[in-house]
Amino acid sequence: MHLQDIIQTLANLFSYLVMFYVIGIYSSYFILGLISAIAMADYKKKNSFVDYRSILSSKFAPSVSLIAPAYNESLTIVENVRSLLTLHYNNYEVIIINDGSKDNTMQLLIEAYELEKVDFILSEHVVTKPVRGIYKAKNPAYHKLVVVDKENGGKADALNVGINVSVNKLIACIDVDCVLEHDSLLKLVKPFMEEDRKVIATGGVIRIANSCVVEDGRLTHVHVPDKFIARVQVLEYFRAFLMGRMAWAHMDALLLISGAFGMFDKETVIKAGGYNHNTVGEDMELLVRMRRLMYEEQTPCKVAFIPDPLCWTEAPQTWNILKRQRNRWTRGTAETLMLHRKMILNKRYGILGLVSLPLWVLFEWFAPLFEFFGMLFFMCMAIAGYANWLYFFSFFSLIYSFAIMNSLFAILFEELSYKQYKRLTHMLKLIGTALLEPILYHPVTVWAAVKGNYDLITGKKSWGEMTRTGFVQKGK
Amino acid sequence: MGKFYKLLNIFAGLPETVDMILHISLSFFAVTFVVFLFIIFSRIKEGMQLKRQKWLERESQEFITSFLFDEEWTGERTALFRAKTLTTTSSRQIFLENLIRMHKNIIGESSNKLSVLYQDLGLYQHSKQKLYSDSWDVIATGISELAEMGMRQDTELIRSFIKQSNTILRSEALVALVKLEKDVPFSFLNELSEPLSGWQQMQLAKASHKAHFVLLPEFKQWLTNHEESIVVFSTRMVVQHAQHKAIPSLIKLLQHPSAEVRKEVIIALRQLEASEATESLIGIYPAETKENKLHILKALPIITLDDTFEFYETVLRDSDKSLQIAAARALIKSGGTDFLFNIKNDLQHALQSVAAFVLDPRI
Repeated sequence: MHLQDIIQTLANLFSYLVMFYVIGIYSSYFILGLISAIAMADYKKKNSFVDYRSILSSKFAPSVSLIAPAYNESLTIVENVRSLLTLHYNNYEVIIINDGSKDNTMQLLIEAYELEKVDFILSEHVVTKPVRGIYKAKNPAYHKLVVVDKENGGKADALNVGINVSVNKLIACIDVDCVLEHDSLLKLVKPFMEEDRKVIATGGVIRIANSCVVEDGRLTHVHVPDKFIARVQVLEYFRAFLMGRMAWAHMDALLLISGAFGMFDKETVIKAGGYNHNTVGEDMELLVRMRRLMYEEQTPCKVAFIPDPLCWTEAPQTWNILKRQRNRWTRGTAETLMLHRKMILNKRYGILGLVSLPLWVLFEWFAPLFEFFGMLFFMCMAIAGYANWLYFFSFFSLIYSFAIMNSLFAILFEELSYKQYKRLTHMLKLIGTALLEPILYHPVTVWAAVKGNYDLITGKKSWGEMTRTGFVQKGK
Repeated sequence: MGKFYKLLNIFAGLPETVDMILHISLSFFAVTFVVFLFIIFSRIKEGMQLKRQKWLERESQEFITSFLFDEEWTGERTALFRAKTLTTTSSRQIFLENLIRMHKNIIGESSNKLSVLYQDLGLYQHSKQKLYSDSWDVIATGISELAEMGMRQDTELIRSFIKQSNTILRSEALVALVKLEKDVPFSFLNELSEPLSGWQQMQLAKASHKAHFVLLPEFKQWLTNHEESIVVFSTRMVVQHAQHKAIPSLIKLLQHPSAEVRKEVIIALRQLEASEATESLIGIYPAETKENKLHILKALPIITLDDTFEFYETVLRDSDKSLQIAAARALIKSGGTDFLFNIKNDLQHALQSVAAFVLDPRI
């Protein structure tokens, strides 16, 4: 056999492998999209009979502890806490964890909310880094507020302290810099009240707040982000939340509730051991561990998902920050999947073990690697003069056409469900972004994911700081 | 034309796989274009619908106001409005929503007048027809409309939906029965085949709070029901309607095998300030779950007139911090503040931190 034959055989094998992989990934998107459409229609129908105000006036509504870790948030902390204190819910407390900030976050909180150190007795449900002090407001207007000052231990550790301090059965973990919809707690609480099975967690849709107008801690005007990078993320979030998680939740196979905003049954969280501070994907890892525990205890449970936009967050606007974020997400996903590898293809864990986790490994973790190494292989072939350019361009057209079709469907989902972007120009901008995304944006995220895998192998543990520019404030 | 044939020839000369891939790509592009057109047209259509809806809402409100306050109102005007404006299902629906909104906010004679208008405009039939639909959400909407407009003659028809497998439909039927059955409300509790979820209980409680019953049932009759959720709901209703006569039955329920039921009962006894439950609560305390123990410690200082200091002191010796805190709080409510101040000032005392914690008014 000549070298040329060997290369030709390799190239053919590779082509078939790519073809099967592409068919697999496209089929999964198609099926998930279809299930999402059914689930969304079902949810909208059911939700048209719901009056969330009835929770507000009801004595039967469960009480909630809102836990928000803060690290170097001096720019926005006072406003953000004020916004959290004015959510539409009757029975809740706000626990802010100052995770050893290097700036004056703590001082600002003490001054703004007239805080005083109190002799708080802390339950040690989960082991954490030492707590320096717990503060309550002198002013009864802020009686809902508890501020914890602790040594720096990362987001997971801060959330664990919040769990120890909280007094309620339900905990809502949020990023302090997010802007919550005023009725977000009402919506997240509802599944805990209506399901016959034990609900261990609920999550909602996170939206991109870049270029949106925030007034008194509330999002008042929704705009499509000015910057291309942030605009693509709007599409990504549409696809992930409206077409992905909605379907996974409908199949009872949801593996991730965004760390930006999610509500949990505290008892189950504590039983599972709280947040793991040895991973950068603590949100996904906690949910997988909780679900694993429920399967092992043979307790029927449910993880609910609300497709309503509940929480608005600032997305990365520069390539470097985006790459750091995607690098971290990749490491977090890979770490979680490796930590719980025992569950993969294990029928003891039901749909989670047989469908959800294997698909996450194949199409979330491995997809960028597959893409990267495929491209590398093709470049080698091209340099060696064995590239079939006709195949290359036809294949590129297939991937490109599918990518924009998928994005257009995501926009359609948004149009038919919540239509947050009211103006036609917003929609046209998003469609234009969808045309450019596969060429300009996607390669960068693939590279960041490959780098994330490399960092994982080499043992890099950094979080990758997210520099925020703050929201557009009305009148500024 | 020549260029087109040249292009066709290129396609014809392509290998089979490439040809297939290109065809699939073209279909993807075509679907994308169709989706794009759909988005644009749906926006335009929605804009037009919204415009018409606003116009109809304005018309509806003007019509209803004239109907209520114009003393020279004639039946012909009603008939004319029906024939000219309420010509389509969507226009009837928009008008009906406005009518219901107004009906909710008024009582007495005006409310009755609107119910008559509802029937005169043929909207009663419009709602009732929905009950024969194949779609659960249409039926649920119909039930809700009939209940809101007080159509008591359809109670039995609505009752047939309380055993439906669809939760929302079941909920709407139950809430409707609470609104319509003024003489024998809650009789459906004897017929339920499915448990009442927390959400349903909340909806029923809200409906019951707003309803003006001729005769309120004694909820204690359901405290022995085999369905746990009905017992929990009835316990809550006993409290909501302050039915103190049910206290002996509630005390008996402290022996219920379900911890959840016992919890609700303890809460109810606290809210009813049932002093006669003191002994029973102290009696069940040692064998209770931690959560229920906390509820007992919260209830005792509110309901009891007896000296329960000794009991709280025993609990203070428990190794569990949260029980110690709850007992200390109970002590404060029972007049034991000085006792705790002494502990707080004794820095060597094992319970010093607990005393300091509970005596801090900010916590």
